[in-house]
Amino acid sequence: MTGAPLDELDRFVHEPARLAILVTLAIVEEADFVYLQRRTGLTAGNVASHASRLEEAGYLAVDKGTGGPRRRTVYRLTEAGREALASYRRAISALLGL
Amino acid sequence: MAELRRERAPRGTGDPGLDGLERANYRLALSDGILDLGVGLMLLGMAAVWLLAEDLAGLAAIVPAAFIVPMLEIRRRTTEARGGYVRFTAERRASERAALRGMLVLGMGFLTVAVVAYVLVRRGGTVVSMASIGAGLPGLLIALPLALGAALSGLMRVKVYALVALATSATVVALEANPGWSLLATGVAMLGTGVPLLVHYLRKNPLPNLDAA
Repeated sequence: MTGAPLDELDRFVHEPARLAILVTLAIVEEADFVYLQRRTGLTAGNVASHASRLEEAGYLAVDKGTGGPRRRTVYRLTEAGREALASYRRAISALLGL
Repeated sequence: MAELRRERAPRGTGDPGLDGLERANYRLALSDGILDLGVGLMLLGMAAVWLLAEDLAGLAAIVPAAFIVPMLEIRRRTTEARGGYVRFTAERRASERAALRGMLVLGMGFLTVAVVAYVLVRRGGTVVSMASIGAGLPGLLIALPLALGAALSGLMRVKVYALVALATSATVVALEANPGWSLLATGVAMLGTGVPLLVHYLRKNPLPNLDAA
């Protein structure tokens, strides 16, 4: 152990499914539910439940579009989500001595 | 229904640690073969005009316009429905726009050269060598945007397409053949790659069940 404070590691972000969703959205402007599912490899149910929790935390903005024959739920990272991910990366880097 | 809270659009990832991941995802988004198929079919259409009605070769210039909207719609209905919708960063889209502008400038430049060569030949017939070089221009006009596209996307197969267009342009000039052959060869190379890519993509990505979305 390097002595880095574990307390600084945001356990909400640390959850693998949520982390995968956050990272996927950090590198694009916005993406829909299907794209998140494909890129993260999560089941539809997992994407829906974790995205919902991230939205409640204020990390994701969600638009449940109504246009077109196939409805499209579009997600984007909020500034709070971007900051949470950056903070998490700093903490995990410190913990791992990177 | 939750409303989308519009946040400030990021300029790129703004993070060197994530740039590699962004590039990989961008390349992956182009792996469905639709772009290869669309441009390949467009080139076949242009080649057909050159080869079957050389007197109407100018019509080849309008072929691309006829392909853009149908290909975008096909992409939306086939691969986007399976792989999902994504909008890349503002920085990425700015790069795409800059590349398109570059292609336009190059195209206009080459068109000017071609027109000047044509006029000179018609007036005096003293620049025959320029006229024969002009036969390679259609292929070059394709090779340069492809080279720009390869630089932008980092995709090896697009570099190969650019090389095919370049090599066939040189061959057309050397053999004093119809420029349509260069377009045909490049189009066939793109179709030959695009079809298996699309088949693979469709097999790998079945239509999702969106009940959970």
